[in-house]
Amino acid sequence: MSNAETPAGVHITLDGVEIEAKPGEPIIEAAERAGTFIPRFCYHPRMRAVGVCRMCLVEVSGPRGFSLQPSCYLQVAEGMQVITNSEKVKKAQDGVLEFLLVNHPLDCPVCDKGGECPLQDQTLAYGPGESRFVEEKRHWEKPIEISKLVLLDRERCIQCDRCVRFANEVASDPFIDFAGRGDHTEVSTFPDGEFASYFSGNTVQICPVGALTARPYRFKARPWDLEEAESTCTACSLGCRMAVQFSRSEVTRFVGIDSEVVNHSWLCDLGRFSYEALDSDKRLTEPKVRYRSEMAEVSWRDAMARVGSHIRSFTAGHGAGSIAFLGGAGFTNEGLYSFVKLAKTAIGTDLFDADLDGGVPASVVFASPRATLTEALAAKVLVVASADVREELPVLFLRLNDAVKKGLRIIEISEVETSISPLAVERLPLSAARVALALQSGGPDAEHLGALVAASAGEEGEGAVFLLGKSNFADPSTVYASLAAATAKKWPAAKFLFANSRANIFGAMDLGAVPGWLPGRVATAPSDDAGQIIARAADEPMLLFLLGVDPLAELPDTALVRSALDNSTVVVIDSFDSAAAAYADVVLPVAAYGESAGTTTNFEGRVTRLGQAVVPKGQSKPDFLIAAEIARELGMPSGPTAPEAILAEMSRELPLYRGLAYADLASNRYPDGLVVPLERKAVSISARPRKLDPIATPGLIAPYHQGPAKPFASEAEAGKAEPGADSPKSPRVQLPEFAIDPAAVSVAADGRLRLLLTRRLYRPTAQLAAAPILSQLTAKAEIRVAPSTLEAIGASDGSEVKLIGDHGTEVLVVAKSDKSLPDGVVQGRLGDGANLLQLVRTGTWATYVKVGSN
Amino acid sequence: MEQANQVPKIVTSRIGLDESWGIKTYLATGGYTALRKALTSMTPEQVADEVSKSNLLGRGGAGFEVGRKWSMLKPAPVRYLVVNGDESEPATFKDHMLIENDPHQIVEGTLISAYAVGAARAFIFVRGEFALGLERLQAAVNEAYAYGAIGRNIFGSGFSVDLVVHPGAGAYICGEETALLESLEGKRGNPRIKPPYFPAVMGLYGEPTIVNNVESMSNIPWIVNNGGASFAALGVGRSTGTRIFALAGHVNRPGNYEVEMAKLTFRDLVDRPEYGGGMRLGRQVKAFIPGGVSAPWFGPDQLDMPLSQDDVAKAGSMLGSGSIVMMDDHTCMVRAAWRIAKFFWRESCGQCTPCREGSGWIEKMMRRIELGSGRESDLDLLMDACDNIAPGLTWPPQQTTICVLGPSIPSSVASAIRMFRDEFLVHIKEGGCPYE
Amino acid sequence: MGAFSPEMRERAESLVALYPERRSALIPLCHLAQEEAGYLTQPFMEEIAELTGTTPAEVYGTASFYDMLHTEPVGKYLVGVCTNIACLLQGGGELLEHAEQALGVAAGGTTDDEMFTLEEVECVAHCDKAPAVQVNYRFFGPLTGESFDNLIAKLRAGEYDGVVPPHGTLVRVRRENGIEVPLEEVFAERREMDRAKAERKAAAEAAKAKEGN
Repeated sequence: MSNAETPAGVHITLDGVEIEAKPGEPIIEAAERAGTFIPRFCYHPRMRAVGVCRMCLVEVSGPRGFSLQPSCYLQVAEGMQVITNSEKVKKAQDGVLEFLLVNHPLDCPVCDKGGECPLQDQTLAYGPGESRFVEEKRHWEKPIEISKLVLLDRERCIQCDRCVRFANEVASDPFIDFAGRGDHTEVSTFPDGEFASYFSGNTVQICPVGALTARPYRFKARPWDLEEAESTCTACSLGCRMAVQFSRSEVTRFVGIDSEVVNHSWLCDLGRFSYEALDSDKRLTEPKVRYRSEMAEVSWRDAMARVGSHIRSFTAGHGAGSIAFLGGAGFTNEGLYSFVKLAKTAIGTDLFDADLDGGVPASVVFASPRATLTEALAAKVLVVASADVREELPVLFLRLNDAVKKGLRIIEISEVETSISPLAVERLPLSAARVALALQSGGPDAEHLGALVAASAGEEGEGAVFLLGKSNFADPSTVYASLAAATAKKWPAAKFLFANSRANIFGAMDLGAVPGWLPGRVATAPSDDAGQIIARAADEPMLLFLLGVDPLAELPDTALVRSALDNSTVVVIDSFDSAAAAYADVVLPVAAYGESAGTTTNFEGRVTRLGQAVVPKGQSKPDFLIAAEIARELGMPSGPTAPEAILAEMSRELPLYRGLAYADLASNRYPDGLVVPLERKAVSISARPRKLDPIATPGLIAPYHQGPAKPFASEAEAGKAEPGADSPKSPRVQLPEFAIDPAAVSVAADGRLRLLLTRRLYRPTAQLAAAPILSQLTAKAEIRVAPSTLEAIGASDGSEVKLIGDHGTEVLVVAKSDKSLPDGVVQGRLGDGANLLQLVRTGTWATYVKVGSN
Repeated sequence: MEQANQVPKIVTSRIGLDESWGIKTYLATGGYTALRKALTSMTPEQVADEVSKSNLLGRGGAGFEVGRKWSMLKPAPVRYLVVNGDESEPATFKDHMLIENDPHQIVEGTLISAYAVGAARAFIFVRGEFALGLERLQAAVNEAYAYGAIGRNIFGSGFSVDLVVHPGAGAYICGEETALLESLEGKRGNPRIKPPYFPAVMGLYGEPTIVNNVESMSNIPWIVNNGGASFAALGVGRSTGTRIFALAGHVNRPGNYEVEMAKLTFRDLVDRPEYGGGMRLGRQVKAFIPGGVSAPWFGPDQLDMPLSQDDVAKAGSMLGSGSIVMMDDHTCMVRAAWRIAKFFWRESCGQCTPCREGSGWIEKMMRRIELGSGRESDLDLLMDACDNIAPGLTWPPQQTTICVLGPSIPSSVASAIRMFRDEFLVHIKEGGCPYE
Repeated sequence: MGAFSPEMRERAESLVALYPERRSALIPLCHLAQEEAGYLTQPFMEEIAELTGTTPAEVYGTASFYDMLHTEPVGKYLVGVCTNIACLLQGGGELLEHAEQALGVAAGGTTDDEMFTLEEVECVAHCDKAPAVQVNYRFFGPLTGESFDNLIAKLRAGEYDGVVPPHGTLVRVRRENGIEVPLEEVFAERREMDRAKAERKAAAEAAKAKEGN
């Protein structure tokens, strides 16, 4: 893969000095590694070189002598001579800059880019110093909205083609293109269309001038007032590296950092603009307790006293088993560790479930040899059986899109068409349950899949990677456990990644915040999961801690959830107000993203640092501090209360984290984090920081290591660490047996349809609701059915229909016709408005609904 | 069209005949005999050999040997042939004439070439504005299908090929062969960055592709019928055969004239009664453009140069598209150069910086001078802006741009300033155009 | 529903079938849309996107590159006066000024009755008849002010109806043949040709070697 050291370099002469270059790399990269920075605008290390801005012209030897050539486009060749510092080169670069400024407005004082603008900076460094242009500049209408999030000022555009290339090639969302010709060329959407991409913010990030700006950031700050903290995005479990930038104690922007092994500098819009919610009035900022029917703001001391008395009285009255913790997948590892210790040691309850999605369970995750993302993208074949990757782990879609262009072979298993379908060599239109059953008992589907995998990776699946995740949110988690177990059995040499997408769900598993596990992947007695806890709470008195979750919005069987919350004593520990908070007896405000430090774990098991940029809003406190204070309230030792110290305790106490030090995760050591458990040899190697390419991501402040792989082995080595295999001290986990019930694939004979629930990136969560611009992007809930199904009930495409669940629940929802869907299935897409989760009843193998005209 | 000497008319023999564009006339005048001969009695390599022997130089503007271009075709199972009929170089109107008046000859040449290079499909890209030409060429293709000259198993030879007439939509830059391929792929007509330098390596849909000009294709039937050697016997040196020169501007008889290559001089073409018939109103030549508006200008002292590709190149310009524009001594050189600058500004694709921004800036300065608001310093500024597009302002040019449209911009402006600096100064000093 | 009428939709699909990749039909389809609607409307661009496997933004971006594709309405007659060098030298500039006065619109404008849109155009390759004018891409020249007025009057009176179709109709001759030989079949034929060629080459070399001996 790209991390491998170059076997044989080519030699070129750069300004009279011979240097070694990698075969196939452009001159600009070879020169940069040798310490010669060639100015550029259109070149971006993560995109196809187009050589249009001409800023990087250098003299290159050829059969007819030296000529000016774009160094970003021309590849090195043995014996090539390159001159970057001649008068001719200088004049050409001066000339290009002068040409660029011909039509570029000099409105730098009011331009968001002013101060971090490659055009400004390179004009200072390389430009002629004055403009000889005295004519009238080209005029365009000032910024136009090309999406809810992005504005375009065409006067400032220098036609570098970065945004258009990104949209077309990286995101596969060609909803912007160049229009017009010559010096009237403009970036444009379709006149009646918009730049509706989940990744639109990246075009703002890579714009080398102030042409593209993000509505949430516009006029918020001046670049020279910005400070930044390196961090990891927690919008999903991919763990994109990013810089949290802030000004005067306010988070103002997120900028993607180019991590070779994770996100290649890209972010999705949900992650990038989620900071919008941080300053919203929907934040919980004060501790509150209920007095009679009213919530009142109180001091932390009073709130803690109330929590403590609840814990004591429930323990005394009903036993520790009446206390349960739901959620926490949005917390830091340090917070999770502290809460699990509180629950399972101090209080003594086993009831803790961070995975409200009921995805692939920890027992399967721990028992399966995990691949790194790098391994998955270089796999002989990647089998994707999960919900739509673009909706669940958006930037993973970008990485897969890129990898497929470079030769990755994908096989998709999905009942519905997804963003992966066009990338896959084949889509098997099967449900997870069908595949699991087929793999357990054989048959044509299993044979077909077997042949497809064997074509690249043999019978054992050597070199194959499976990306498994929940594809139907109406299914119980057992379906996915069975699928994963059956897959691992059939392909014993394959590796796995799991698409559970909640931010730190893998950290939560590793730290025992899931049923049946203790911190460090240590098994304990099985216990109830979130659904079972809710079912119990509806019947028995319970004390429920809600850790950053709203079960009303996130769990199925909404009626049951409501009665559980009604019936229980509820402590809400969250950053945002939610429907569930209305049921709270105590509300504890937890510091939001960017307000506390710590670490988080991504879907590979990669632990990275979360940066603290600003102080917690109002009275809110970091998650680990809240756990420590509850422990102290109960008279227990609170343990360490700083993230460094908590991680140190984890690494001391838990073999899983052995060798991991907080300081190692800093940007000059392991900027991309480390996959736990560590391979021992990896620990002594440190990454070499690389000077930032200031043009690739203009807004970044610190000289991070970033960009394409350098020939240094740290990450490659660390990334290969295999949980439970090479590390003798890490716990070994046996893959449990799961049996799938044929009920999971049965077809209802009475005209009922099987419900297939999928989610979209912008789904109604408490945090999204608190973000004024992003929340406008939440789509309405809808269902999709085969055209014949609509016809059968006499409904038209786009009309409202009635869904009737097994227990009589009725939901009105808009129905759309979808030719790609089979008969017998109704695809429900979760969203605003109708709550489709209420149709699902916990404990059933499959959910069936009746569709009727309204 | 008249012809004084005994030189054969190779490509214009049917011009002026009744319904010269119909298959009836075409068959009556030897049409499709060359195709039959090639397909039924020659191997593809024999056809290619004859073309190589003829030393036919491409008639589109670059003057690259057709046979050599064919020989560079990367061997691959999928290859295409694209015929460039996007004639847009100002004052060039020979392909327009051939398409409208002898479309079958183009079709036949295309089919023979498709056979020689083993093209899987042939496309004739016709400038969109040539509505009549498109109609006549499409009619010719329909007739040729009916006649059995296109399609499956042509003339029973076992060779099959389809031919598609593709209309352009109005963009000068699509005459550049890689821009033409982009356009044929249904995209914006941006020239492709080089390398790869030749579509023969990577062309249409990324497959090896031969792109030849319409007039080049029109020569092929004659070469097959008469042999490459007979073609090479005409002309001088590398400039073999005949060629159509499109004579325009201040001459008494503007028009297309097919003449033997390199035998006549510019003066012959302008003055002889069967060609230009002398300058209009008996005026003197002030300057002329020897090969399309991308070419640097010549003055009256170069009128006696032969119409030879190499001679013109040696003198610092090019025969290019075969268009010659004569300007008499009543012509405002500032206005002429401004109009050409305006053309390039309007036609720049806009993809790379020096051309997109430079063409507009140069046009604005030229307009200002012509309209009377010029400054003396503008002349050096103009030359420097030109130099930043074509460093050194030499010929053949260097360029800071992706394609050759860039260095075409300075040709006229720099020529006019160099040759007629005084006239610019008069505009500047008098605050307007002295010819108004 | 689609923007193309059923008959035009059929023609559109047959155009797509002429090319190895369907995006190649994008420009011919834009011409076809103009033939039906007079200019390129958004619904047509959306349907062309569907036919060519592109997005409407790409169709718009591509179409807007080309002078002949109009995404805004134009008159029934698009009158282009050439002022490029050959015509300039023969009075093309003056003819354009005359045309502006005669039609009462500046270059780029459309007359109130929506009959004429005037354009200043680049060389139309009609230089031996300079100054030249094109009306819906049918050529006239050389023209004087007077003959220009005459031309306009005749167009208004419908005297050129057979010669100059309304704007949008570019080519009145239809292609009568589909693709006769599918590409895969041609590829097979070429592979056979290449094999025969290689054999001939080998035979020739062998003969040469024999001669040399």
